[in-house]
Amino acid sequence: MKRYAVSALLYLAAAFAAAATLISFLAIIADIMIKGLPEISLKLFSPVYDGENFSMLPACINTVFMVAFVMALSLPAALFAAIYLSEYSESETICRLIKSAVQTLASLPSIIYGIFGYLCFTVRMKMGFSFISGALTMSLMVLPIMIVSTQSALASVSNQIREGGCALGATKAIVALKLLVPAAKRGIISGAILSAGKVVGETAALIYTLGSSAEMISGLFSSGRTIAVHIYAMCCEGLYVDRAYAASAVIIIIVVVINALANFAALKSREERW
Amino acid sequence: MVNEKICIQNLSVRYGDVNILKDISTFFKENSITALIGSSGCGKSTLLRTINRLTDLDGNCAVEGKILLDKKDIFRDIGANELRKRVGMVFQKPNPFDMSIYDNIAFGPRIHGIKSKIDLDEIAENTLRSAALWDEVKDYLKKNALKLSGGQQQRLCIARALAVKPEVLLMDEATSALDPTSAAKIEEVMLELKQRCTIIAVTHSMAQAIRISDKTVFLANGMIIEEADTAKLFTSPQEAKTKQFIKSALG
Amino acid sequence: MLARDNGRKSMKISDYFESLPFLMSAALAVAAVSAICFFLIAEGMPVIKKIGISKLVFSKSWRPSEGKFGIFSMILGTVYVTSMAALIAVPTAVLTAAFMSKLCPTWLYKVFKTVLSILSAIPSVVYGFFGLMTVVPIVRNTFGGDGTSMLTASVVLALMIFPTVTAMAEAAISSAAKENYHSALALGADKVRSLFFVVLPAAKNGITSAVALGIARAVGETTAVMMVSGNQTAMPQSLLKGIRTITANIALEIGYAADDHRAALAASALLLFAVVLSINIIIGILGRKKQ
Repeated sequence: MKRYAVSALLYLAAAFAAAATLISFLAIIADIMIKGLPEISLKLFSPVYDGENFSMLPACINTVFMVAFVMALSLPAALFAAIYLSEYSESETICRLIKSAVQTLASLPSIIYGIFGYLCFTVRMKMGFSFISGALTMSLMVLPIMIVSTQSALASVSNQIREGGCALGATKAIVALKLLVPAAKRGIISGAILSAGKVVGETAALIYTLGSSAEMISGLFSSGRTIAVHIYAMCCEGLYVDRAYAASAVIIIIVVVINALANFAALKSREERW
Repeated sequence: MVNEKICIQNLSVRYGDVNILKDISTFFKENSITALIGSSGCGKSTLLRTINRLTDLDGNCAVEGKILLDKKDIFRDIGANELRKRVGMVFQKPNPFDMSIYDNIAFGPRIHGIKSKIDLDEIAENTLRSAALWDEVKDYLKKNALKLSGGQQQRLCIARALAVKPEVLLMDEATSALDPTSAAKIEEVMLELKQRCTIIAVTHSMAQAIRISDKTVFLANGMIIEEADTAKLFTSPQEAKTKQFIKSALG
Repeated sequence: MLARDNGRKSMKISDYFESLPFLMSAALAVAAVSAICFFLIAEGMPVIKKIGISKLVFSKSWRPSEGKFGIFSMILGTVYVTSMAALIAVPTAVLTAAFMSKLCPTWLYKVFKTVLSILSAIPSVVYGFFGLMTVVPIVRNTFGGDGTSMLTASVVLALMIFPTVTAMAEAAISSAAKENYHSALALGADKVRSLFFVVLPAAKNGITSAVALGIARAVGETTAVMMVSGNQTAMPQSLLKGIRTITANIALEIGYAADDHRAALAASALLLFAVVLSINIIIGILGRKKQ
C-alpha cells in the first residue's frame, strides 16, 4: 500500500506543478491578448509618431534596423572566432583562455553591457544617445552567445567532411568556410535567432545607449527606441497602459509567428533529406 | 630502372603512447596497383593516411621517418595542401559533400584556381566517365549528391578525387561498404586508372587483392611481414604469419 | 626530431597568415572582456580610493547626495529576491520537466513545448508589465501597501526564469532517461518510481546547469524587477516591503549620476562582474576536477 502511496503522491505533485504552470502561463498570455488586442488599431501603425497616436511603427522599424546592424557586425566576427576555436587552435592554453573569456562574457548581466556602453560610447567617446552607441553595445552583448553556439555547431559536423575536403588539397580556411559552415547552418542560425531575440528584448542597456526618442532613426548618430523600450516608456514613464497592452500583444503575436515559422522550417528541412 | 613513385623509409607512427607503425620501409612502383592486407588494427589505414599527411589533422599523432614522393620528402619539401593535390584519397564510407554532383566534382579544381565553366564541364565529364558514372548521371548533374545510391556515391567520390588530377590514388577499403555489383564496377575503374595513376589500396578482401593488384604488402602489428608480387605472395608465401593469414582468409 | 614538427616549421609562415583573420576575431572576445573590466575599474577607481572597498560593499546606507555609497542593502535585495524566485521556480520547474518527460501524453508534451518556447522568447519588459498590471494589484489587495514589494518581484522573477529552467531540465531528463528508464522499468519499478528515483539522479548534472542558468538570469535581470520591486534603498525589512537590486540601482541612477555617484555605480557593476567571473572560475575548476 505504501509503495503505491509514494508513487501516487509523486505523480500528483508533478502533475499539479505542470498543470499550475501551464494554467498560469496561458493566463498570462490570455491576459495580455485580451487587454491588448482591442487596443490595436491602424492609428498605432502610422508612420509619423505624435503625441496623439503613440504610433509604434517607428519603434518597430528601429528594432528591425538594430537587429540587422547587430547581426551584420557580430555574425562574421563570431563565425571567424568560432572557426578559430574549432579548427585552428593548436595551443591548449590560448584555446582555454579564449573559451573562458567567451564564457565570462556570455554570462554577464546585460546591465553591465549597458553601463559600459553608456560610459564608454555615449559619454567618453561622445557618441551621445545614438544608434551606433546602441548597436556597438548590443554587438558586444551578443558576440559571446553567437561564438558559443556557432562553435558547438561546427564541432558537431562530422569529421568525414573535414577529411574529404582536406584530402582534395583544401586549406583549413576553405574547408571551414565552404564545407563546414554550410553543414552547420542550422545550429548557426538558431544561435543567431537567439541573439536577435536578446536584442529585441533588451531595455535598460538600450535606454542609455540608443536612447528613447520616439522618432525613427535617421542616421548612425540619431536616437530612437526599440519596441521593448517603447513598451517601457508607455507604461512606466507615460502611464499609457492601453498602448502598452497593445504593444505587448503585438510582440506576443510576433513571437508566436516566428516560433511557428521556425518549427515549420525545421519540419521542412527534415523532409527534404529524402 | 624501377620508378619508385612513393618510397617509405623507416616510418614510425605513434598515437599518444601507442605505436601503430613500427619502422616500416617499402616502395610503391609508378602506375601499379598495390594491395595492403592484414587484420584489423595492423596499421594499414594509418599507413595510407600518413602518405597524404591526413595524420597532420590528428592532435596527438607523432611521425618519425621519411616518405618520398618522386624523391622529395613529403614532410619537409612539399606543402601539405600541395601534397594532397598530387595524392588523392577515397574513403571507406562514401562522403560526398552536401551539394550537387557537379559542384562536388568542381570543388577540387575550383579551389586550385580553375574557374572557367568550359574547363569545369570538361573535367566533370572526363572524371565521371573514368569513374563509370557518366551514363547514369549525365542528365542529373545538378541533383544533390546525397540522393545517389551508396555505390554511385562512392564512384562520385572517385571522380571527385580524380578531378584534381592526382598522381597517386589512395583507396581505404573503398569497396567494403558496397554491394558486389558496385564493387565490381569500381574494380574495373581501378584497373583502367592504373595507366595514369599509382594506386595503393587497403583491402579486406583477398579475392579483390588477387584480382586487381600487381603487388601485395602484408602487415601485422604495425610491421611489414612480407611483400611480393601478388601472384607469388598468394601461391607461395614465405613467412609463417603470411601463410596463416591467407589460410584463415581464404579457407 | 619528429618529422611532423619539421614539416610544421617550414609551413608555419603561410599557415600563420591563413589563420590570422580567424585568430584576430577570437582575440576580439578576449579584448572585449579586458576592455569592459579595465574600463569599469578606471571609472570606479575614484570612489574606491575615497571610501575604500569594504565601506562600499558593507555600508548599509546609500545616499548619493550625502556622499554615502553603501551597496549592502542592494546586495541583500538581490540575494533575497533571487533566492525566493529560485525557491518558487526551481522545484516547480523540475517537477514540470519530469512530468513532461515521461508522465504526460504526446499531444500534451507538444503543447508544453510550444508554450515554453513562446514564453522564453517574450522580452522581460512584457513580464515586468504583466507584473505591474496584474501581480501588483493582487498583492496590494491581499496585503495592503502599494503592491510593489520583495514578494512581487520574486513572483515575477520566478515566472521569468521558469521557462528556461524547465526547458533545459527537460532536455537533461529526457537524455538521461534514454539509458536508465527502461532498465529501471525492467527491474519492476513503475513509471513514477523509475522516473524519480533513477532518472532524476542520473540527470543531476543537467538539472544543476539548468538551475544555475536560471539563477544567473535572475541575478542579471534589471527591467522587470525595477518595475515591481518598489526600489526602496533601505535595508530589506520584510517580504511585503520594497527592495532594490544592484542591477536596478545602476539602471535607475546612471542616467543622472555624476562624479563620485557615477563612480560608485561603476564600482557596483564591477562587483557584479567579479562575482560572475568567480562563479565561472569555480565551475571551471569543478568541471576539470570531475575529469
